[in-house]
Amino acid sequence: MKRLVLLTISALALILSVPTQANAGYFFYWRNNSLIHGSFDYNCAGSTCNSPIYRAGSGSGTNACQHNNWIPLGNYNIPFHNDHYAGSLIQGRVWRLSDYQCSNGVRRTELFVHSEETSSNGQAGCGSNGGDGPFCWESTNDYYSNGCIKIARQPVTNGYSDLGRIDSWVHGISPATWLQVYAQL
Amino acid sequence: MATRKRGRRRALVGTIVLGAAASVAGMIWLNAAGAGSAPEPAALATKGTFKSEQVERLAAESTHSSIRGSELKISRGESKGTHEQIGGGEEVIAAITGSLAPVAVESHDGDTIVYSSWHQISHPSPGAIGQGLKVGQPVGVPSVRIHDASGRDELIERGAYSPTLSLDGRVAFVRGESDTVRQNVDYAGRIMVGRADGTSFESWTSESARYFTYAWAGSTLIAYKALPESEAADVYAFTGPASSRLLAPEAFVIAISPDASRLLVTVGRRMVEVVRVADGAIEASMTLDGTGVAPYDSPTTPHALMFAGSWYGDRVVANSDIGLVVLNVRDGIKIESVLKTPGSPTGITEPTLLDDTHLIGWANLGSLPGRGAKEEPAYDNALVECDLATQSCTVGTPSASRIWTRWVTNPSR
Repeated sequence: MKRLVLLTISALALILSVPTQANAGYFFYWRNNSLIHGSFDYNCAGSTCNSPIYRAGSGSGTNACQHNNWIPLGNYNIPFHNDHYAGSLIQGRVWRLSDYQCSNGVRRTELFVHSEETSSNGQAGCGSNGGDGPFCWESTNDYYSNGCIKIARQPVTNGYSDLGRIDSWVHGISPATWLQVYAQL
Repeated sequence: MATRKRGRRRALVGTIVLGAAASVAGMIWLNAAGAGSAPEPAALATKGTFKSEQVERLAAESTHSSIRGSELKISRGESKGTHEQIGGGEEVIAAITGSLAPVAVESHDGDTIVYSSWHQISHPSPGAIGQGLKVGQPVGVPSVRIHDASGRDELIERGAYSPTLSLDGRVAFVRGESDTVRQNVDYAGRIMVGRADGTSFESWTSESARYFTYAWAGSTLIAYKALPESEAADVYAFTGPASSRLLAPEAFVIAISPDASRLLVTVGRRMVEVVRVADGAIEASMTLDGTGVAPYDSPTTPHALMFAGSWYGDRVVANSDIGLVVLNVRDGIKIESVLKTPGSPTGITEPTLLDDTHLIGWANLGSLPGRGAKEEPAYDNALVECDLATQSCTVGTPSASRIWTRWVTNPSR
């Protein structure tokens, strides 16, 4: 009986330590104390489906509770995913994240997981905008963001970019419904 | 509103910027002659680390008003020496803007203070998916309030945020299309301008958007218009109803010059520019990194300069990810010093120069979260007062995260 109680408590602790929804996919992002050397992967509940870890970046500063800085630690809903988002500043394969309120009350909004590509998943305007076209992945400088999580669109190897691989995991297994941001891998 | 397309402005200034950047880079290279190659903008800068000491009361508290939670400590004007409760029962925090704009701004004589307050409706649950909030759920209501020397503490507008106060007594803020901020719903509004006595407010914008009013440069209101799907923004100069011009695309204001004629801005992430308020012309520029300047992940050059710094004489201070950056803008833009801030994991926020070497600001206390951390720390925060010459800071009594302790300043000039 005692063993059963302990097992139950352990299972509950495991379940409650990370939010889960049955058969749902989810993302992890680790900031790694860096704006451009973060780590990102896809997981799902219920089976072995961890993607490789891909490099990612977030923010232009390290004060998570200020606009334009790296994304705060915590858990985010993913209200929608669109493979051909036709926004003004971000396009293509995107995952919208829920707004986040810091413990000091400051709200972070307009948060996405995205890259730099066109709504048709191509590249355009490379070198424009002072060498940083919003719809072209020109260099590692593109890992910086206004707060969003950025995944590389170049290079393309074996037919896929990091963004393409993440998208393939999502479409091949299950939509990602939440994201957890950790400090360090 | 008269607007200029960002792309067009980029094309117009592209040549100027590239030319200026090349010129500045060339100057730095020349200056480094005889000292070895030193291409990074911060390479010639003085490097240092602030020593800090916690004290019960900062010297600047006797001459500069401050707030702690809903307590206003008045150190200027007719009510100097008094402590008053403000906020009307609401929290005195700027939930919508953070430090994009000060939580409280004062008039030139210190008698009038216009400030942000916040009424929380839904409370985020740490550890819950999406903090337990659903799309469209009401989160809170921002308000703009006023306190004056008579003791009046009143609501100016509910559903409003980002208050500013000009030297001639005009108040500007953003009035939301609705009172209530909702989860994952854009909080758009219009810029309202009126008098500090709360009368005669008129809309200066014909369309509703995610604006953030920052400060006044003389009679010109400097405000941000946020970009869609982004926390980035364009910087605009407003001179009257439906009368504005784009000053800097995808930019943040570091500081307004003492004579109100120029702004120091970060454009994109790594370009720093001096921009003329009158016409948006770029007077000087400097790149922080990039080809021929510094590696993108250089550990010694700041990756970006934060908004909400200050400008005194030829000197500008700005927070950054690697410490407090001191710039000189006398001839072009140069980084003078980069000073680390141990014990303040997010640096000195809203640094405000009192003279060439003394500044006040506030800081989160503690250290960056380590491995395993899955929630943003609820840092304590405190007022700070620093001396650039001696590289020393005094740190005031800590407050819990939600109890904001901030100087009452005014970036308007």
